[in-house]
Amino acid sequence: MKRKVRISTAGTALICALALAAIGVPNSSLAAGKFEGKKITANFMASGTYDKAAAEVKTTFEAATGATVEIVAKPFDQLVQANLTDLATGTGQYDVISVTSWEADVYDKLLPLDTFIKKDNYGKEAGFIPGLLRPNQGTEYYDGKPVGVPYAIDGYAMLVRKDLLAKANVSWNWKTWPEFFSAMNKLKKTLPTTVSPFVFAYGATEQVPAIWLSAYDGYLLKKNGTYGLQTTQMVTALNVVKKSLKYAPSNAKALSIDEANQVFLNGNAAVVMGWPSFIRAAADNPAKSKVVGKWALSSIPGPGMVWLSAWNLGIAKTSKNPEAAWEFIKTYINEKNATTWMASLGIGSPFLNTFKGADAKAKHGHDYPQHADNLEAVKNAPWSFSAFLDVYSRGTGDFLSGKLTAIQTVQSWDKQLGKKKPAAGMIEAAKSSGLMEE
Amino acid sequence: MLKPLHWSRHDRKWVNLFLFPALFFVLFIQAGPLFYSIYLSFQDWILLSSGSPQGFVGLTNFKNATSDPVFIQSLKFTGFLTITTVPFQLLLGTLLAFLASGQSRFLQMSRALLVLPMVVAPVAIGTLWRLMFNDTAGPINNHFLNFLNLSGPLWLGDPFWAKIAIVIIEIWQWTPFVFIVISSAITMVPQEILQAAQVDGASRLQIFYKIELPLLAPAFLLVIMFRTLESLLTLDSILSLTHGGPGSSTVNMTYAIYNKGLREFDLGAASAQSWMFMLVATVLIFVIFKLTIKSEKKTL
Repeated sequence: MKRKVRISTAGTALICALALAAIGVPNSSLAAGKFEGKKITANFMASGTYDKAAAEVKTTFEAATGATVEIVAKPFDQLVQANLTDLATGTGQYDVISVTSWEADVYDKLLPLDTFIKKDNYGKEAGFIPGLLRPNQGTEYYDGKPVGVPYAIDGYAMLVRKDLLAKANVSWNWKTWPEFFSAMNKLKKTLPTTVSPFVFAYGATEQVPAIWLSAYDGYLLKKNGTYGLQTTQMVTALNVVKKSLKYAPSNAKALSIDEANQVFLNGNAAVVMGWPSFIRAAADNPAKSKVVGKWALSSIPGPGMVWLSAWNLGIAKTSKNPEAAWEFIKTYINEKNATTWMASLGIGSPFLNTFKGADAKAKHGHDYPQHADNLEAVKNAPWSFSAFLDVYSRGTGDFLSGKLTAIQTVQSWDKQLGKKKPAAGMIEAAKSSGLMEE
Repeated sequence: MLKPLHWSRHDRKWVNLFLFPALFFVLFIQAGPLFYSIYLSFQDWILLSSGSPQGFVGLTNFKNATSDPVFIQSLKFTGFLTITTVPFQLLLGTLLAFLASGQSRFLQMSRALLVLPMVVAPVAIGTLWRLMFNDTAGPINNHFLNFLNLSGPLWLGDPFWAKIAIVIIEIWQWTPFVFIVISSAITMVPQEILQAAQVDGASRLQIFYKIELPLLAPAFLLVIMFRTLESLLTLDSILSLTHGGPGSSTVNMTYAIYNKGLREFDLGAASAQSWMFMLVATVLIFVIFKLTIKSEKKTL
C-alpha cells in the first residue's frame, strides 16, 4: 500500500513536471504546494485569446503551487471600468490585474514590482524586447518603478493581399497617407466590384483614432501638461479619415472590429487596417480564412504615430497574496508561452526570440519580421480612459457621422479637455516620445 | 361614497410607534444617499484623482452641465425617446389587449406569447437586435427590406437610424407591459354596464369611447406614468446596442450621467446632472400623478 502511494505520488510529480516543462515554466520557480490554500483572482480581457491562455495557465499553476486561481474575463470597456472602480475605491476584488495605459490614473494603487523583478532577474534578462521595457511605452510605471509586466503587445498595422496588389502592380511599402491613397486608386481600377480596396472598423469609433493618430503630425499635450492639439495638423488628419472611407465598403461606418476583419478574411477587401493579434491566427487558418498564403503584414502610413496596445499584468496593493500573484504572473508571462500563443492565438509576444528563430521565419515570414519592425515605431497616446472614450472617441464619431466638421471637432475637443491633465506618468512618457509641445 | 378610515388617538400612538422603525430605515437608506448627492453636487470630486471631495465649488457643476454639448444632446434624445416610444407603446398595447381579450385557448396562448419580449434579459435583447440590425447580414435589411425591393439603411452607423433602432427596441420590449396592465383593466370593466349599453343600442365603437375608455383612464395614466419614467431611465438597450453612438447621437440623460459618474468618475458633476435629471422627471411625474388622481375621482 505504502509503495503504491509512493509510486502514485511520484507519477503525479512526474506528470506535473512534464506539464510544466511543456509550457516552458522553469520548475525551480514553482515550488510544489508553496501556496497551498491561498486563493488569487486574476482578470483578463474576454477576447478569446488572453483569457483562453489564462485558462491554460490556471490548471498548471494550481497543480504546481496548490493555490486556487479564479480567472475573471470581461469585455474591454467593462474590464477597464472594473479595474478603475476596484483600484480607486480599494475594493480589492482582484489580485492580478490586466492593465493598460487606460488605468494610468490609478497606477499608484498597484504594487511596485521592482523588488520582485530584481529578485527573479525578470527584466531584460528574461528576453523581453528592450524597447518595451521603457516607462509607459510597453511597461507600465508609476513614480519611477514598474507596476506591470507586459504580456501582449500589439501595434496598429495593415494586412495586405499580396496577390491583388501584385496584379495591380502596387507596392505596399507606403510611408505616407497620400502614397497610400495613390496605391488605393491604382488598386481600385483592377479589383472586382465585390472586393473593396480597404476596410477598417469605422463602426467601432474608439478605433478610428488609430487612423488620425497615424496621419497627425503634431503634439498631443501642451507644455504645461494639459491636453492640446495643433489645429491645422489635426484637421488634415481628420480629413484623412474621411478620405479613407472612400476606399472602404459602403457599410464600413457600421463595421465592428470582428466584422471588418471578416471582410478581409472572406476575401472581400485587399487591405485591412487593425490589430494584427485579432486577425493573424484566423488569417492563417484555412477553416476560417480564404486568404491563407495570400497575405502579408505591412506598416501603416505616417507621418504620425503607430498606436500601441500593451497589456500588462500588475498586482493590486490590496492583494492579500502578492507572492502568489507574482508567481502567477511569471507562470503566465514567459518566452515559451508567448511564442506558442502568438502562433496559436495571435497574441503579440513581448519576447525578442519569438521573432528570431528559424521556425518563426519559415512559418511566419509574411508576418513576424514586419511585426517586429512595427513594434519599434509604436507609441502610447497619453490619454486617460475618459478623455479617450468620451471625448476623442465620441468626437470622432460625431465627425464621421457629419454632425461636426473637422475644425468643429478639434474645437470641441479643446473645449472639453482644455484644462485637464493626464496622469503624471503619461506626461513623462509623452515628453520622452515626442508627443508633447516643445 | 365610503368615508375614509380614521385611527383613534389611542391607536394612532401605537401605529406611529410601529411605523417608526420602517420609516427610519427608509429615511436612512433612501434619503441618506440623496442628501449626500446634494452635498456632492456642490463639490469638486473626481474619484480617480482623490479619495475625498476637494472643496465647495458652488453652482459650477450645474453650470458646466448646461454648457456640456453631450449633456444637452442627451436632453434632446431623452425627450425624443419618450415622445416617440410612450404613445406607440400605449396604442399598440391597448390594441393588442382588446384583440387578445377573451377566453379561447388561442387567445390565452397569444397573451402568453405577447408578454415574452418583456421577460427576456435586456443584454440578450441588445445582442439579438444588434444581429437583426446588421446592415448586410441582418434579417431586417437582408430579407425583409430586400424582399420589398428596398435598400436598408446603416441602422447602427447612421445617427438618425441608430435613434430609430433604439425606439424600435423600446417599443418592442415594453409594449407587453402596456398590454398586461390594459388587459387586466379590461377584465375589471363591469360586464353589466356593457350589456346595458348594448341593450340600449350602442355600437361597439360607442361602447369603447363612451364606457370602456373612461373606465380604463386610471389604468392608462398609470401606464403612462410608469412608461414615461422608465423611458427617461432607459440604459440597457443603449448600452448593449449603440453605446451612445454613433458619436453622441444616442446618448440619453441616464447614459450621460452613467458616463460622468462611472467612467469619468467625476462624482460632483454626475451628482449635479442627476439632480437636474430628477427635477425634470419629478415635474413630469407630478403632472401625470395629478391627472391620475383627477381621473380616479371622476371614475368614482
